[in-house]
Amino acid sequence: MSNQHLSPLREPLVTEPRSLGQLTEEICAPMERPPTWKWWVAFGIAVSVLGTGAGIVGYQVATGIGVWGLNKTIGWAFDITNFVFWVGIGHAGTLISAILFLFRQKWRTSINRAAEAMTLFAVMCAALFPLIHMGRPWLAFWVMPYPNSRGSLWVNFRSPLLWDVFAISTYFTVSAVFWYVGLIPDLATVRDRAKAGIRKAVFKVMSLGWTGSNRTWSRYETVYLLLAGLATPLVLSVHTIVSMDFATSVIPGWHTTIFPPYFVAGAVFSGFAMVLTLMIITRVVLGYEHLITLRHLENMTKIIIVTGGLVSLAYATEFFIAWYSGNPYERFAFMNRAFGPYAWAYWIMVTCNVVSPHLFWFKKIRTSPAAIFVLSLVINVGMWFERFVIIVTSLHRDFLPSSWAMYTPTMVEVGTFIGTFGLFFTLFLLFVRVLPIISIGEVKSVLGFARDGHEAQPQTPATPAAEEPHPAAHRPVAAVPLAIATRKDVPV
Amino acid sequence: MSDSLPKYWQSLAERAGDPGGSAQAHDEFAEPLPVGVAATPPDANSRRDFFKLMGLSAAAAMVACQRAPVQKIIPYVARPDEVTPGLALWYASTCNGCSARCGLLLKTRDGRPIKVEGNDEHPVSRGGVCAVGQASVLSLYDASRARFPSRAGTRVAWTELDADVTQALRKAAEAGQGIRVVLPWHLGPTAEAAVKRFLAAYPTARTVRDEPLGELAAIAEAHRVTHGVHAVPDYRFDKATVIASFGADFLGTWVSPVAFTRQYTEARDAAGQRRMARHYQVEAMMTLTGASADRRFVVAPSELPLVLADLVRRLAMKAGRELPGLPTLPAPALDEATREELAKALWAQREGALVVAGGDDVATQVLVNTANALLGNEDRTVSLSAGTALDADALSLEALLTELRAGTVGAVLFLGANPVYTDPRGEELATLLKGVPLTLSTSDRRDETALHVGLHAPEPTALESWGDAVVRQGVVSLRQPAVAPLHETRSAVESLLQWAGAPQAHYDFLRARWEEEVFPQVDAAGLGFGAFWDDALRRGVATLPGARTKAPAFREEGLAKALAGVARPSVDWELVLYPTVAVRDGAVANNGWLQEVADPITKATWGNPACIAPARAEALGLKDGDVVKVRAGGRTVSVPVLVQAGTHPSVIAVPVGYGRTRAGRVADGVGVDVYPLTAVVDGRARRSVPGVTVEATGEQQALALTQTHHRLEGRPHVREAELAAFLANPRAGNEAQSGHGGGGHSLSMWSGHEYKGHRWALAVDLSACTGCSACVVSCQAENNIPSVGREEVLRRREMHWMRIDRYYQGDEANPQVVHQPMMCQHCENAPCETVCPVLATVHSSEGLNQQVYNRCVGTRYCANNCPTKVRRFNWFDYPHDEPLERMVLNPDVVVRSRGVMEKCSMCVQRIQESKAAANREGRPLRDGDIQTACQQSCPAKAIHFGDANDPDSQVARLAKDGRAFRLLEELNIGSSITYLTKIRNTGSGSGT
Repeated sequence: MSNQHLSPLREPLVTEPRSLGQLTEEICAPMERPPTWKWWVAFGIAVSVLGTGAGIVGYQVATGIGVWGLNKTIGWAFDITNFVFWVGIGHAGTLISAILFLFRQKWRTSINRAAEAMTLFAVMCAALFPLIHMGRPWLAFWVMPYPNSRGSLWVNFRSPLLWDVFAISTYFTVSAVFWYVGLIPDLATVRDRAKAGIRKAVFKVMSLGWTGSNRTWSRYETVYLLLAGLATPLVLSVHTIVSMDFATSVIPGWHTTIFPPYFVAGAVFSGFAMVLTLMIITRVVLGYEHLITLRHLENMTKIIIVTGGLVSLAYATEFFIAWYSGNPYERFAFMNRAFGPYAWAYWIMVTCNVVSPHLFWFKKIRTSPAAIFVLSLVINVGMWFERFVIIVTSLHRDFLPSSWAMYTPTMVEVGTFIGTFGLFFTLFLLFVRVLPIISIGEVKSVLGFARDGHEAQPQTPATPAAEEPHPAAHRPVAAVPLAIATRKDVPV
Repeated sequence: MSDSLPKYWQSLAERAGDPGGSAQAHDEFAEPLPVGVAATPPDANSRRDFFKLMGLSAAAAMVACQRAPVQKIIPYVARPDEVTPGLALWYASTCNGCSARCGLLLKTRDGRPIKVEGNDEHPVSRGGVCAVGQASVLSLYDASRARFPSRAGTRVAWTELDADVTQALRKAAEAGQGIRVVLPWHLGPTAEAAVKRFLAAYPTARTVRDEPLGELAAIAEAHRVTHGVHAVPDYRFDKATVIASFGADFLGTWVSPVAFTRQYTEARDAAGQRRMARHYQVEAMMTLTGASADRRFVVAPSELPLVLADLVRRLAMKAGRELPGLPTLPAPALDEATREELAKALWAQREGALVVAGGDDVATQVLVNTANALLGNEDRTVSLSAGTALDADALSLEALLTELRAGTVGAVLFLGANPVYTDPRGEELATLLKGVPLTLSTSDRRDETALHVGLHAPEPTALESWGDAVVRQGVVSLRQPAVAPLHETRSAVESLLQWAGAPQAHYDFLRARWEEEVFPQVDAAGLGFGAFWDDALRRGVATLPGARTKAPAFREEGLAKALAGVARPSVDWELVLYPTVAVRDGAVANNGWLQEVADPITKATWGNPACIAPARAEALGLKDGDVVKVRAGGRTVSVPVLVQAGTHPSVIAVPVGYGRTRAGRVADGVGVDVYPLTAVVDGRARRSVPGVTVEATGEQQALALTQTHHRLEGRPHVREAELAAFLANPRAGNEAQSGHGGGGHSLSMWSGHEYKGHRWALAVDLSACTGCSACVVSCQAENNIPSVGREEVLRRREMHWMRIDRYYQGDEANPQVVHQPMMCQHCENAPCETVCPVLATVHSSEGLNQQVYNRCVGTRYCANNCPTKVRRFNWFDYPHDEPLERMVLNPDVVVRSRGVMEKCSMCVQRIQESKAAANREGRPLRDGDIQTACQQSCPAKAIHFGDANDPDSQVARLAKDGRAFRLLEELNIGSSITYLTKIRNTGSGSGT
């Protein structure tokens, strides 16, 4: 990641001139100062929502799933909708960190850390739902294949739900490892900046004895590359398997072979929308507009146009196949989706997912953070409804008309869903406070200063953090505080 | 501690006292352990003591946390002779749920009744039981029943109560004041004998007969007019070749629905007999019977007598008889061609024709009797000589009220009657009762009437008491208790005998009467009474040969007078108050099973919405759940409407039996009490009320319906054929089965399951099924299925393992109806089995799809993937907290906890029981050994269970029948349930 040669013709990825030291200073600054009142307010809200959500979940577990609006016809609704929604959001992180890495998309460097963190937090939110949607969540460990004293009792390897267990846990594990490995050089930087104390001790352990030597870097980069290779198939596998929960069933509207690619495209689509939402807030709040530039945002909107197109194509294909198959149940299921009692949900989905991404064709919208922000929210609403439409409209009217029923969520379900946002933002706000949210080491490699007549400099622009235990000694003394002081008031 | 124990030696050396061996024995580990142990003295035994101490302290710490509640149990030391714990005992008995008196078998386990089944040997009900009969076992354990005799709500001793009553009765008799016993029509001969003895003891005593629905009274009264006998004839639908019913719901609630259902099925067995009685139904609202009819005509209730009179006129014309006094009003409700078709069809069959009518209108019944007399079907399809006579000397409720108003009554005893609730004059009655010195009720709970009487002498339920009944001339059914009375109750017979001054136990009185009156009629041939009695008790029924009397002849003299009341039809709203299949007149309302079983037609539970016609609803802008105000006779009742196909546009039909205030914790406040809207015409309560007003209130009330979509959307889940087409081609209507998408060939990667022994399967005959829902309640009772209540049904969470899907087709003003019992299909390739992550639902080696409750974690994936949506999830812990009501649970079936899935198990406990029995007896299982709960109680015998691997079994034969089809074969699920096409005899000639 450090051996790059940048043409001066290329648009710089970091738009403002920064020295390596300044960059370190900037990115580490939020961690090293006490939180501002704004952070406290945001954190307070997030924790309250999380607390309320936890209370609601506690109530539901104590009382029974009956507090949800499900019934004998519709056995899944909000729970699995939320699960797929969060897993989908979790997709962008690995995509950005692994696939874009393999494709040498340098612009990923300033967003991959946060995107990966988002992935982990989203998967945590997602994992909550399969757990609490069970009638007897305290027996959830039964889905694990472990040796037991119940004779030949084993798990059912034919069940897509079991595949889910493996897919999600693998995905979470690999993402976490990948994220952590990516963090190591930065953890060392923080360690080296910290004064003696708990902070120093913690980061010392966490940075696994990073020295920043050439050998360390070279091995590190090999590991990172290997992990990227390992993580790449997971990007496809997780949502493929999640989609099989539906695709392998017999229910019209679920039972389709298009689901794996359709779900993966949808997941990337929603994941990028969520990354955009978070990054737009972060860059403004932390003053990282020069690191997370408009170009980054634009790139992501382009991916959204592509994946949005894929999703639209999937919608159209589903309808075509429903008609072309001649299967009356499937035809009905899709007509019912578009014109039945849940048509409103369907058309919300179409508006948000099919129509709204096309606004990104306009340069003006693509380069307006405010517009992107709004559209990213719209897309996530649309993607939530996509899962709701798939799950609820397929179930509520299946084969026997005698069983047809309607579903209305209860406050408990809505509260649980909102509660997961509390969990997500609580974790994200903590993340912003305790870890560098931009990969210092990687961003340094794309720093523009390398080309302004500094060609003669050694080809290791990402000055290892370990080499500057006393940044002040190497830098114009006033530059760093000044640089930050000239930034808009850095609030965190 | 070791001092008290015998000393065992481990080796000869130790025994000999070898110090070396002994030392070795003390020190198990000869090699010193590297840590600490070696340093301890050899006799300290510290490791063991350490563990002991640790265990003790841990246990002490845990025990100290909470004292487990002390529950004392009592061992079954003195076991009654016949009771073997774990084995069921069966007692033959007679149902007391309605006037039909079907034969029952009561299943008891460890001394408590847990299930009601039909008695196959009973010549009338023949093994069927309806929903009400099934649910009577739950009513036995009803916690809202009265548990002791009381005076104004305060407990008294029986002796004290008897003293009070006897004294008051004497006083009334001496003062010449009337003593009135209010009771229903059918008490049974022994109870009637007790009543007679009571009447004899008090010269001023008379009976007052009160039947909430007035059907029997109208029939008997009409026969008094036309035949001079106050009796209800015996109807024989099985002998009919054409049936014309004018509003009689004889498959649902009318007179003896279980017996009629069986007879009806036999008369319409197209597959077996190659013929089928055609069934015409002329009615104002969709009834269960109308749903089965071949030709159904919708006529307003006030037009019904006119249509009937027109029919009688046409029949008389064909018979060449002049009948004076027939109403000459035109009957515009039906067109000329239809009226003539009906008359022709009946006349063509004459003796094989049967005309019946429902309702409480005597004139209508007189017309029916006239029609039957013209057809000459006496002793064929209707038999007065085999009928049952009703008390001819009884007073009416109106007469009682008159006397009460005059203040000439000294005592009123209510024996199982609840007129304060069931009669529109109930309020007045309640007030008038205050002025009567002795008022008493024997109801099983402090109901609406009992609330207004001084003394309450509660009766036990039918399952706890003796009794008998005449079900047909020459058939006497015995009732024996299956359990000693649970509470301090006493049968009304015993009470009456006590108060008549001739105290005798019910059993003794019954047995003595049988010895004196029944036994002499029997062709005993040397058999002693004891043997006869034992046999009658065992079989639950005695058949008396007795010479058949000739039926009295039809008399036309009274016709004109009886028919004078037939009037021009009303032009606007007519209110019809009708009993539902489950709750009937409301006496059994406090029963969760009956409240929760969906009405076969409206699919409503826990309430009584008013049915109105779709066209009328549209015109008024009303939809399901809109509350309307119904005003009749100065009284107003607010009731939610339900748009019901097949209702006459001018009719608003509301079930009675709801809105109780004193029935108990289940029924109180459920639905609306519409009894007050009943009209009173010439002193008779009339449940068909013309000229009511209906206005919308703008309010909404959700209806707890179990099915909200009523069209099949062109899907082939139900198949049917016209009789003619079926006779020409047994596969008629079922062509899809062999064609594309049918069960022809299906490719599979799998070899499929192998069934070396049995393979259980069901077959359901849609042609026989009437939708009566007896099976649903039977299943609920057998399998410990909880009733979940209105709120949960509103959320579509009823737990029934089997349900009856009801679909309409054609014109919504008068649609064709089909019922389809739906239970787990026990698929060969079950979609539920593959998706469960923990293998909680698996395939048995005998073809059953089994649910393993304690393995289930509750992902509900199986339910989602079930194409027939028969799986039921325990959303909560459904309470079984009432200790008394818990006694009804079947110990052979697990009570499911919250969070687990459940569904039809094909009564696996019955399969296992029969297999074990066959094994014990060292014989192979025979077809018919095993009966599922639904199959057993089906009055129509529409459900067949058996081994599909046995080529001679009925299921195997039916599975190969031309009518056989399976659900969703295109999914290759391989359902184990065979459905047989529904055959209709509409005469339209076209197939489907």
